[in-house]
Amino acid sequence: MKFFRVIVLCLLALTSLSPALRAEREDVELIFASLHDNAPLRATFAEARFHPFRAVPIKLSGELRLDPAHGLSLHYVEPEETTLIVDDRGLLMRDARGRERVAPPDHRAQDSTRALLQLMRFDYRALLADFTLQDTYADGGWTFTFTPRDTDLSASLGTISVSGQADRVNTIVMAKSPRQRVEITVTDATPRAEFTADEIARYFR
Amino acid sequence: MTERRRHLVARLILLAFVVLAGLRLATLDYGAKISTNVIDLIPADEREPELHVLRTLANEQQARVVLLALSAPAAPPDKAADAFIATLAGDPSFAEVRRADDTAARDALGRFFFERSTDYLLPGWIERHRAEFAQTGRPDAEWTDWLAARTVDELDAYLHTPESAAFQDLIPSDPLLLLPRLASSARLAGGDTPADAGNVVRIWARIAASPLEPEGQQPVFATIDRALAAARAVTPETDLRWTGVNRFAAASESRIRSEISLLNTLSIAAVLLVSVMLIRRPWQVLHLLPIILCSLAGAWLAVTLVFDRLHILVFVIGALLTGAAIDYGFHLFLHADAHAGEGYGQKIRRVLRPLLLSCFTTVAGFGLLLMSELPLIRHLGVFVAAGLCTAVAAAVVYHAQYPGKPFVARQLPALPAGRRASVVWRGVVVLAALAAVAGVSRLHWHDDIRELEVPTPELDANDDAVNALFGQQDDRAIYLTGGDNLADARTRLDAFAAWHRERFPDAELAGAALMLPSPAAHAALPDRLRELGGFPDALRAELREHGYLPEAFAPFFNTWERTRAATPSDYDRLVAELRPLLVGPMSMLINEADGRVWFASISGHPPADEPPPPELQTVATNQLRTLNRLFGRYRASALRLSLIGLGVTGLAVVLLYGPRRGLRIYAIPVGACFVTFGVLGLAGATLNLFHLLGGFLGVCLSHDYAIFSAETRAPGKPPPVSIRLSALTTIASFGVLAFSQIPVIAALGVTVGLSVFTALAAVEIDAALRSRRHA
Repeated sequence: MKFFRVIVLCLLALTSLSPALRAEREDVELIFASLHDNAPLRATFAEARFHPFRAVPIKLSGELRLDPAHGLSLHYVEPEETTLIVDDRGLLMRDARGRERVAPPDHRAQDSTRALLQLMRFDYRALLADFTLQDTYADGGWTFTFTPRDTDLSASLGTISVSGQADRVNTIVMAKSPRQRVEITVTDATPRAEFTADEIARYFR
Repeated sequence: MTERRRHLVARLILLAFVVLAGLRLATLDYGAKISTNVIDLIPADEREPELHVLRTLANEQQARVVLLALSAPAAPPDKAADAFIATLAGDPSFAEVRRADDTAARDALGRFFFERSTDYLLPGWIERHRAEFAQTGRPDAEWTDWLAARTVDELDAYLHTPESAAFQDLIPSDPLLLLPRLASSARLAGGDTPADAGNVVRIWARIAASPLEPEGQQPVFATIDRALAAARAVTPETDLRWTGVNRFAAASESRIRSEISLLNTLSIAAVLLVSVMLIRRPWQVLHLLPIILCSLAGAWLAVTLVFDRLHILVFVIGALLTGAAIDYGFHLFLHADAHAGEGYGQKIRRVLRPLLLSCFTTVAGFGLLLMSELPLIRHLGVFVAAGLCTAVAAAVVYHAQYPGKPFVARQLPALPAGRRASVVWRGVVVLAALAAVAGVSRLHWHDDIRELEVPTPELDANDDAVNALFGQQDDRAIYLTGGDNLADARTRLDAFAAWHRERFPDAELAGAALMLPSPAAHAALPDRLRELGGFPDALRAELREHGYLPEAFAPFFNTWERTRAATPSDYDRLVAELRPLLVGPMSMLINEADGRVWFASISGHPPADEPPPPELQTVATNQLRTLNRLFGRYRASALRLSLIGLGVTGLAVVLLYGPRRGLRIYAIPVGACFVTFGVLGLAGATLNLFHLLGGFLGVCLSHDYAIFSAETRAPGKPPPVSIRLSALTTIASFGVLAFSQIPVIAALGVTVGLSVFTALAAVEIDAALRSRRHA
């Protein structure tokens, strides 16, 4: 009888949890939808690279642009001017003098940048096809942690965590290990930005 | 000799010649004798490095590369590509086939360099820094500390670049950044650069035979067709675009062959048409056909006997012979008897002097071409000289059968010769002289070897499109550095790199130089490592000071110590171990052929006009596209020969006709030549070697008209009809050449046509002016 009661309680508990879980999933989708609708997006970012062979991180900063048609552009301003463009055609690096280099399709730099593009598009269904998702909520904010389903990609990329509040992304962390990670802090975001033709030509391809 | 006997002897001579020439020409192996390779137009013993490279590359593996792009509407046809590749790889006409995105070879090379970086990459790294240190002027005692500080500065700078993320795992074992720098260089080299390929599978292949030989053409095309059929059996909508030197070579050969038959036929037709229009009984013109055919047979016979191998262009340009050879027939058949009952012997002696003299001036001019450096020009010299000698002989022998059947020409009106007309003609002469002076000063010369071939715009467009699919960009310059052996070439490569750093300080230079140390750097490594005994400690200190954790770099320090203790490997072995790994596009970085070794380097700057100094034995591939510099030298040489030729013919005319009459004769061809170049200069034409050659040819032909005009001019009469007919037929035959698709042939046609036209005009004006004086 005692055993039966435990089973009933467990079932009750599960049935009471199910609506909450469903609601949470719906929230995730809503958040993703609003993040997705932010594009085109313009923002500034600060990037901190933590290496296992350095006591202090390497810091870079610049401007971020996301355009549904043209992809993701990371225009590094500090310490030197370089633009990284990630789009459906791959990864392109453009230096301050406009010289361009295209990375090979299997280049490891493509892994993180391609994942970043996929992530920044916030296409919920597409992301779930390639990543497992863990979501946590605290202090009015949210954190989504993505782990590549592909084991090779997972080994080279680690996990990607995106934190934010409401429809704003605050930080993105790509972590292979606690001592080897990249933290990107997004600030001054302008959602639904309008890119001029010059801006498109300069920061995308 | 009786008339009957003379006829018999003449027929026997002609028959014997036709039989012998026919037998010889019928038994020739034309495939072995006639080349369609544009490289064969240039001397085999040419020592210019750019030509040596071109010869090597044209026949060796660089030119054997074939780029193929398979596409399908929905998705890249991967399985079809597998079937396609299997067919190509299984055929002996292909030596190597691989997918362009197959990274196995690059990964293998990457692993090799990771394991052997101290053998291959470290010596060059140390020498480069040693050179930088020497420029600081600091004492040697500071070398180790300076190097440690510089290493950490470079590491810091690199880690602050976005692309460093790709190599962060390597840094603990490679703080000197040997591999990241090599990878960066590989990216610049573009061997692994993807393009906006869409649904395309890109395939890189190397054919087994030279693309300029028949074995490298039709068998390859057939195999590609079979491979495409195999691919379509898997994915029916598979489409193929491909490019290779063999496609251009085959197309050029086929077009040149059709040009030969077309130009020769049109040339003969144009000449006969002019003759038919100007001769009262047109069927008589058929008498000239045997002379033209004998002339062409004599030219072919001589040139194939004298030279082992000839370029097909000789026979295209040889079409001009028709216009010149027919002149002798005209002069003989249009020469009326001096008086009733003039015997054949008397008549032929009367005509023979100007006939032989005009033949001599032309043959002497073309004979001088034998001294040219360019085989094509030498071949042309023999072809035309032999053709003209045969033509004059055939004309005399053939005419001996029909001495009493002169052609009756339609009389063309003479130019007006009154006082006012005389003023006009003098004005025309002055204007022509002014045009010559003004135009000649505006001449612009540029030679391009590509103008020796028939342009193939559709193949060029296809080539550009396929190359774009393979990510090849025009904003990079490619250099080839040569040496007598690998060590020599590698040493020169350092000298070239030093020149490049100075000339293009902002442009990165990539290529084999980074993969393989120079023999000197390799030999110096043990001593350098001994000098740098304190480097590990200095580097640890620098790393710590810059926020690094030195203990994390233990893999590097262990490798450093192992390298110091190891016995250095032999340089030849170093090369031998690397070579098998350079496959596919990477194999292009080192070329060995004809006892020379060439290293390819790719620079981040666009192709420049300024070539590297000759002592570096380095050529930029854009130099190879035109060979302008080399052809410029040939042009200068041809100009010298032409001037000597002019001097010789001028001297002959002055000696034979005396100074006054001789100079008057001489002024017509020389003036016609200047006016022609003046007109071309005023028209803004860019001239090449073949314009010069055409000018020289025009002078030789114009001499004929000036001499015949002087010899046969009747007081107060226009020039003899034979001169008009000769000139008009020559203009017609060269006018045909002016429409050739091959730019240099068109150049030749335009120049000779203009020269002869001007010479004819000069002869006519001269006659008009003389008529007035006579009146």
